[in-house]
Amino acid sequence: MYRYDEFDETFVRERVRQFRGQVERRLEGALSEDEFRPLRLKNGLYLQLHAYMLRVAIPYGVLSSRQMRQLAMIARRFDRGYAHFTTRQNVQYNWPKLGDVPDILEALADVEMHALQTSGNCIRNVTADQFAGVARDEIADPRPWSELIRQWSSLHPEFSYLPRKFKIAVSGSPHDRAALRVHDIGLRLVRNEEGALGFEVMVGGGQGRTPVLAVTIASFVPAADILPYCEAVVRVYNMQGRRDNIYKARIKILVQALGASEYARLVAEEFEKIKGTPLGHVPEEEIARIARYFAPPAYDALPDDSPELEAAQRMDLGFARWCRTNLWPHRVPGYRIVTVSLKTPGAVPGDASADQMDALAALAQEFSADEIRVTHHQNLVLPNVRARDLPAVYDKLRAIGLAAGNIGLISDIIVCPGLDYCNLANARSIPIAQKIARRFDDPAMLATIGELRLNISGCINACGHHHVGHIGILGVDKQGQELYQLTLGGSSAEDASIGKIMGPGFPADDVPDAIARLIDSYLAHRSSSEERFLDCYRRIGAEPFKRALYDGHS
Amino acid sequence: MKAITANRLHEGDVVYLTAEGKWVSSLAQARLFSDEAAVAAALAEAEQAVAARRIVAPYAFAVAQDAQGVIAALSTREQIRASRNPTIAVDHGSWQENR
Repeated sequence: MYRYDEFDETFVRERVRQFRGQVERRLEGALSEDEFRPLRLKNGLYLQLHAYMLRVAIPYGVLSSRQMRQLAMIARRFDRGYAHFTTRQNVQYNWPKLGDVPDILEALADVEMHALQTSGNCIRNVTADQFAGVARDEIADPRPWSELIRQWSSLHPEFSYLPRKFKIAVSGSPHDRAALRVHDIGLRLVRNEEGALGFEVMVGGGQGRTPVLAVTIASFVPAADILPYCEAVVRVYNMQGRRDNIYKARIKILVQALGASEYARLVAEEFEKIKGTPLGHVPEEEIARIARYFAPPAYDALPDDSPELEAAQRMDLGFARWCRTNLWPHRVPGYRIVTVSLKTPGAVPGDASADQMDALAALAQEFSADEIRVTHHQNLVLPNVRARDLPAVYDKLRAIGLAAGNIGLISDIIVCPGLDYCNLANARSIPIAQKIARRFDDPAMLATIGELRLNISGCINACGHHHVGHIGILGVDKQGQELYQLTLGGSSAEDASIGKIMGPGFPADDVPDAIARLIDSYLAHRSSSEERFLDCYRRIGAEPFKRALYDGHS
Repeated sequence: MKAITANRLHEGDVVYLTAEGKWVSSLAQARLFSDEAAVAAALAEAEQAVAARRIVAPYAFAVAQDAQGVIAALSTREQIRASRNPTIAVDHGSWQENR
């Protein structure tokens, strides 16, 4: 893992000291609310529906056990004993008191964490493939490059007041687990014909009220050039992006207005200018220095198969099911990547209690080289588990209520906080997710349905990624009633697409039945059990699903 | 009919303006306003509480009062705020019962 150097440490401590002074001056009356609001937002502190909310950055979703324990301590001491993991691989506290926030930030700084750039019109926390460095299908590890981007984008003086917020995601695999096509910049590590490492650069993706898939403006930028190239992409946006209308201020609108080829030309022009300056070159030794922080742990030499694992699967069908859904091949034989579901049916998706967080920290320490990842699907990952240890890990997860075997299935729902917490929401989203997860809480049914991404947002801002759900649900407020529109056919993976709205919305109580009718229709129409819901939809189109939704039910 | 709400500066808690000019957590004690001029005057009073660092972000919202005098927010959003909690259970101790 990356460790703070003296500069990072001094800088973060100084920002905590500054914010402590700002809070004191606010409480003493030297700062007005209008003066204070932008200052608290620059430190990740929002005012939400019930209370303040603090959003803490988890750079590219990577946490140590020590950091997870500190997050648990903060939840226990300063909040209500739980925290919420988000689609940006961050963590949020829903109930902090203003006067406690400087102490919370100090506690975060003690474990090399902060809440900077988790709000505002700046480059936000960089996100990455949660299986970075361990996935068997990986071309190269995206973490050193993500860290390089984190350092470059932290308090970048030119990019502190962009037209709007800006999100960068990085992946090192052909299989896109980082939703690259719905980011302002998506970076995918590739090798060219000569075997050199570089990036495919996608620009102008995003969700919200205008969902757009990013377009590739460069199929190969040499890896060592990625910072000056990103600098050029963001500079063109900063200079030409709209500032007159918040709804048209994201880079996606500019890329659409100019056209992708014109945007690419402007970036290439800017890139050439930057190349001739000190910013145009990242020293190789600096890249190597950062990469050393991500050296693999000391793996044991093991056969890939484990008799203990196979025996345990034969003994315990629940464990066998969990192994089928929650494990991913590791690049090192004898190891597996474990995804820990925060989607236990009936629970709040993405929430973890302080006790669960402590228990996960202990699990990571004992079984996963001290490391935990956060996924943009709001789950957690133990990236380095020996196959033979899986039964023990599963038993310990069961003991803390986190052994749901549903990763990638219909109950593994992405869901925004919605009207239960959020100031911007129009409708609740968590209770809808809970109802659906309970409706399909049957192992045989889950297995029959297979891979299905269901995402729910409580408003058009789309924090719950509904546009890219195979099934998306959007909560709207229609004359005081919460209604839920369904979209079908979205994907955030390498086959990215934006879902299409099926028709009028449903009241909350009718949503699980509507989803059930969609599933029945899928099961009736699929060409085989191998054909996923998304592929079936793409093959047969919307009409059979619209009929299932509305015929006799409108 | 409207009431005035805000959040406490220190704690962030949801509060309502009472007839005595206090800020309390119970919607039942909120002062009700039936015309726009009274709402505007109350919001001006709320701005003084903002300046006095008691509350932030005040605004008026629609309520109804039944024959028994019980005040209820009209929108789901304000009903949720008035309950001071999300509508879902966040009892994160319950996992222990499932052991």
